[in-house]
Amino acid sequence: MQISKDYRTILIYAIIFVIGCYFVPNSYVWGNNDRNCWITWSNYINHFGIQNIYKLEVDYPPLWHYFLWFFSKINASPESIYLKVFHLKYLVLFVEIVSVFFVYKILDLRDLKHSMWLPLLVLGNIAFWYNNFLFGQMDGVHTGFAFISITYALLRKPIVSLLFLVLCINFKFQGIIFLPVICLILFDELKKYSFSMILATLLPAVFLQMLIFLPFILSGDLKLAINSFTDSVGRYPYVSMGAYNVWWLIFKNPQLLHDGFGIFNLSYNSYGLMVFFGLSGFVLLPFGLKCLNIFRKHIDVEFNFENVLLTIVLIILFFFYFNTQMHSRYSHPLVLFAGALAMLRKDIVRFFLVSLAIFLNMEGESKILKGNIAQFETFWFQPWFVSLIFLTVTILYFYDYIILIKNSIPPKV
Amino acid sequence: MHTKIIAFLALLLTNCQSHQNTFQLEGKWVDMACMDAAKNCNSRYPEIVIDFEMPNSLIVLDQSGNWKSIWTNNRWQSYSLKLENDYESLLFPNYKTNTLQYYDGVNKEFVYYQKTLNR
Repeated sequence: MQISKDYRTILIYAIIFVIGCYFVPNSYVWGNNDRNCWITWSNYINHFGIQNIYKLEVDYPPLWHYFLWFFSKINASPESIYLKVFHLKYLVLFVEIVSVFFVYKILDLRDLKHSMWLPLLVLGNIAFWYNNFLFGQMDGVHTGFAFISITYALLRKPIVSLLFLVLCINFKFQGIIFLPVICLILFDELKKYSFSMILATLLPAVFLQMLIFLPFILSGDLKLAINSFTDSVGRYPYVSMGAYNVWWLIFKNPQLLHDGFGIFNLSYNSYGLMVFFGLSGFVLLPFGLKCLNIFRKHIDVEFNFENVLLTIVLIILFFFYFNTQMHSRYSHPLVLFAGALAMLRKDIVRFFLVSLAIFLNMEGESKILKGNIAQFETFWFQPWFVSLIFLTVTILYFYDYIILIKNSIPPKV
Repeated sequence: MHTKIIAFLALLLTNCQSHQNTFQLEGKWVDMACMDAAKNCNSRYPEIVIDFEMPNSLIVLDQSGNWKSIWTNNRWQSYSLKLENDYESLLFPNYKTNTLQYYDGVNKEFVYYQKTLNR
């Protein structure tokens, strides 16, 4: 019996998922703050219902609470919630593996040789596993939703793309960094639609958003739910919260420095935001011009997987590398996007450097594999060294982007 | 059809009704294993006092009968608790039984606390 390639791939990824679940450790970052959050929130949801979770003054967007609700329905006692809290990692791993399946689908659509096996470069990468498997966080979920949304947007399926965009932003507000790219891709498609078709495309996403909010609307906590998207912004106003980014090349210890301070009447926070928005705007501009049909004679970038993934990798790098208040784990989305780009372009060097930097930053900051919280002595884990690797990959990807723009300029007749 | 819609909405409303959390954390909590005076109480902390004026501390009665203050990270109605083998446990509520509990990572069992009116 001939089994189709898709089914074989699903089978392989399902096996990896089961093996991952079997070996998933009950480990969390030192202090167990995240673990304690998941326990107390699940316990509260279990007794009072998901609709009341914002009365506990939690600061995560609604979708994660649906995951906790599901978990607490399976583990209905406080004891079980406490002892099995690490089972939440199964849910995150599931979404992560599904997102890697979409990497395979992209490669398969391109008829790339070994499309079934190439995504194992991501799946066999410790930088991919660290965030959920060891650290106990769930950045892989909004990353996965964003990746799926972008895939569908590029495949000209705007309805599904918008649904996953809604899921992404409702899971973690950081997902908003993917919004401009997705909007530009979708706008390029929707501008061909009639008004009624645009409405029909937007309606399912609006309906899904309403559905996510429904329990909070019914319990009268909608305002609290909406506030949760931005409540955590500025909660830890330090120049760095563990990200080994550009600020480690400027200051001796940016983790002790309030980002409200600054020079020339502007705070470090403002400088970070200006560089992030400025550079992101710069890399998005050619796509914006393409959407609006402006300067087509002078520049004409294509909305294809290579170009869009390269732009997104740069946006994530700008976000992580220049902003203040960044945690080490905020670089996690890079693994999937840079991994997919590496397989499409057969460019492993940049992906290796990105993965190395992410792993060194995560382990250097959380020291889970090391087993104690004493500072690393070796230079590999020193913030300035890791920051230099991130700077190198940013420059390399930016160089690729300049080449892309150069190639997008039509030759003069 | 209308009846089904009304039934569905009623179900939704009942399941999504607002509940007020009336759980009172502040006060003195006694290890339930120590409530029976006839039994020998081996509790690590026979009594715990939660005082909102000291948000990062738990006042505990230790096995030698002395009151002491221990550091805690207090968030979302729960308190981190570091045990002697460096196991980081969590003192958190059971809203159904109005008790507090933490997992004893040394003896591998849960320890339950009930509120007492004695201050």
